[in-house]
Amino acid sequence: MNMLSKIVFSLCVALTSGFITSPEVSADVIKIVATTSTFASLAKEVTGDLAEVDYVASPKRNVHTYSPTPKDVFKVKIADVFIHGGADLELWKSPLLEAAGNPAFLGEKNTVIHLSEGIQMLEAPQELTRSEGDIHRYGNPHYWLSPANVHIIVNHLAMRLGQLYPQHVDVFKRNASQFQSRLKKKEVIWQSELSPYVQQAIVTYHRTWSYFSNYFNFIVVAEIEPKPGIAPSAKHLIYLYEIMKSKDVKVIVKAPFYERRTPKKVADVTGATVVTLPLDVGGVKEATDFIALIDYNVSQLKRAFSKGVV
Amino acid sequence: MEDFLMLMWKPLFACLILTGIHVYLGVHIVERQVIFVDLALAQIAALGIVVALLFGFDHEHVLTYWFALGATFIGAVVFACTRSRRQKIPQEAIIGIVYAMAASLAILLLSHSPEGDEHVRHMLVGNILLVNLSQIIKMAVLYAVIGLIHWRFRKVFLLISTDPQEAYRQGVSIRFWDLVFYITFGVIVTSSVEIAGVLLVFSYLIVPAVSAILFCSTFKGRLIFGWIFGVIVSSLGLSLSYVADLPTGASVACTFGAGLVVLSLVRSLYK
Repeated sequence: MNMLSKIVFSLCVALTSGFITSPEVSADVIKIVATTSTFASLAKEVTGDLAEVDYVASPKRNVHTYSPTPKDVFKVKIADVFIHGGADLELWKSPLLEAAGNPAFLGEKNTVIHLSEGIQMLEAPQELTRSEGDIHRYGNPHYWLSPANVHIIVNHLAMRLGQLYPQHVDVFKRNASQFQSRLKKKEVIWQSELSPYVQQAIVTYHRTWSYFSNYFNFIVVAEIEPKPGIAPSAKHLIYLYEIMKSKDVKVIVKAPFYERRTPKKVADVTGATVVTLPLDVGGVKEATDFIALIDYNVSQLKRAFSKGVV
Repeated sequence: MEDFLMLMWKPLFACLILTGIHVYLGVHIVERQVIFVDLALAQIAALGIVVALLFGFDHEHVLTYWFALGATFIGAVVFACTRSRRQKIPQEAIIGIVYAMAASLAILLLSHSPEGDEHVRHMLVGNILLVNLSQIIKMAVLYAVIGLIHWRFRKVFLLISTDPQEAYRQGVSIRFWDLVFYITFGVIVTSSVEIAGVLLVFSYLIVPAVSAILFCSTFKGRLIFGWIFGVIVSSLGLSLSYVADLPTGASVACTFGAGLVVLSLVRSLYK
């Protein structure tokens, strides 16, 4: 029913508004499309009114396996700047760029901004893979979940957009530093909120939270599932029970799009609490921008930890 | 309209190529009652890719493709050899078993591999919307070659599909021709699935053939009916995906289902 009404609704919207026929945009507004809602939100912080920012992957689903729709192709086709996370975060990125055929994004172009530049990647393989040409920086691609990295991202965005639009470079820089000072103030609050739980051991569903845990100084002792989609073996479950008991793990962190059954079972056996944290802006309705996203995650974690103490 | 063509001409072209070869193969498949053989072969190809990953080749490596193809050939041999004149165990049972085993084996192998899981899943999901020109050209050339082979030997393929007992009586080497059939079928399914995904490929194979059976009794009639049906449904499905901004492959697959329902209603009204 829900799906049906959604289809009917989108049909009506499409027919009445004709979204796909060139929207009226004044020529001097920069059109930016980012792969994820978080990157789009950060780009909006930097550009303010100077740009229209849109994103491709829904924040409610796994970004790795997102499957673009015709509207997504169209967004990329009419955009001036494309922002992506790199490090194999978006497996669908190259086919999407090719399908859109926007000459601004084909080949090595400076209108394609790669945000993992300058970031210390965690869990990168020791040896470089033998793939030709570009450096394969595998490693964990969820680096935006650390506010420290977001400072780097925002600086990088201001710098790269400033090169593309030198007439606006001062605005970009000012917006970026204003955002950063707001972020810094918040960081102090977040750190103090979670300070009682520093060095706490936690278990995560998958290796999504490495940067977040590093930043807030939690210790991830194990993952629920060694690989997504593959159920843990009996041995792995026993290992989880044992390590969670010995390290006194009170909290299991999972993203909204992962199944709840396995973490719930592990939590029931060990007396831990499962806390569901969104990865991206818009993943829950409270997370309206990056600061709100971390705000939400910090408060959820705090609640879960204090439940464990009582 | 212009926008639609500008954005969707590549998927449309790919869908037309899929219609051409899969409707033809589908009529064979339905006639032979081996409906799920494409799912099994696609899963076997995925298993081949998993093995290639375990040997350290990455997803884009040329050898990975040959691993997939090699695995498909093994599958073809199994399907050709398990057919016998008086069938005690239905062919569909063997196909089901092969599918379940290939899928489970892939999970077992992947549970200890550091990466590749997503790539393999991608292979079975595909995305027809993002098909590129070189994929379309490769597909067109490969399918044309296989189409020619089938055209050259159409009589024997047709006989085996429609009347195997008569083929046995005439002394046709069914095992050999089955092997040719399943190998060519496997090559096509492997590359189609990578572009369009399992669901869409399955729809292209089965739905036009089944719809055609409702209205036509000859092989030729079914083929022509299926082709027309496939072209119409592809265009409608792509338009639906475009207008309502829905995932392209699933839109076309559901349009196939809707088309079949409409045709069955028409059929029951004018009986």
